[in-house]
Amino acid sequence: MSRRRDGSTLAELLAQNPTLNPPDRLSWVAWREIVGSKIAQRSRPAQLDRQALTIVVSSPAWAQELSLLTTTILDRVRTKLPSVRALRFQVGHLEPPITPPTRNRVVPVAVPAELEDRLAQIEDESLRDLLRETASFSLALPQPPQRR
Amino acid sequence: MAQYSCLVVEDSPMMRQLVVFALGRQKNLHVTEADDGVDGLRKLASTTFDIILTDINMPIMDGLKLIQRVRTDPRHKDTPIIVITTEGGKQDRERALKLGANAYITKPIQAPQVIQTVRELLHLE
Repeated sequence: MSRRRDGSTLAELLAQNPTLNPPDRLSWVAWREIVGSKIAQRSRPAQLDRQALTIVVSSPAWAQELSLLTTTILDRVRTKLPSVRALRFQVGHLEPPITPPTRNRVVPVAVPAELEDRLAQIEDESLRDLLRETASFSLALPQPPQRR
Repeated sequence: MAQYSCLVVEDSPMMRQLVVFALGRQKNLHVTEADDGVDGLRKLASTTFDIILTDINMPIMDGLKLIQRVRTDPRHKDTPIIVITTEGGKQDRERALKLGANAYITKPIQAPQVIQTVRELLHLE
């Protein structure tokens, strides 16, 4: 990781920026780190009011489910927002998350027959599947220009 | 009371915790947790389970591949499998059932539904 002259990394500087990280708000990225991507798709942290953080969820069923995890989630939220003392789950509309742009998704391609023959010689099925998957993604990547 | 063993395969620790909470309502069920399909297979290599619950979308090895592998293993080919899918995961559900899953439940996990499905597949009254 590259460091600036004062020794801090870009990530550290971004984390300290009060505009990007207001002290009473959790970014969606931070929320995803706390609950994992599957739950983050169905919930968003909203406002912090009198030490209670409101979590907006997509349905009453999710509110009920996540309330079972209140202690676990609260412990993890407090690592990022120590002032939070309670969580409130509220059903509402989930705004799409604001996330940094991602690279284009790579669509895997079929593995050539010659490589498939070689893979067939690998006894361990898990390893064979993993190598096939890796190759199919790798072959789908744009090839660098050939040097003369 | 007879004891039953259950393998829960889910990569999200919090989602896994919710499934384990739900299964906790069935007192004679011993739950083992796995992080993904590969971890699940590792556990299946050393132990047999009475029932398997697996998520579909997982890194390294997803639930569909896990079902394929389980169904080709003579020791586990008859083990009931419940897949956990998202509300919109109709295609995944159909593929999972085609590959040999016995039932599905959708997220968010509803404890009564989980218990009812497990009890039906284990023929518990």
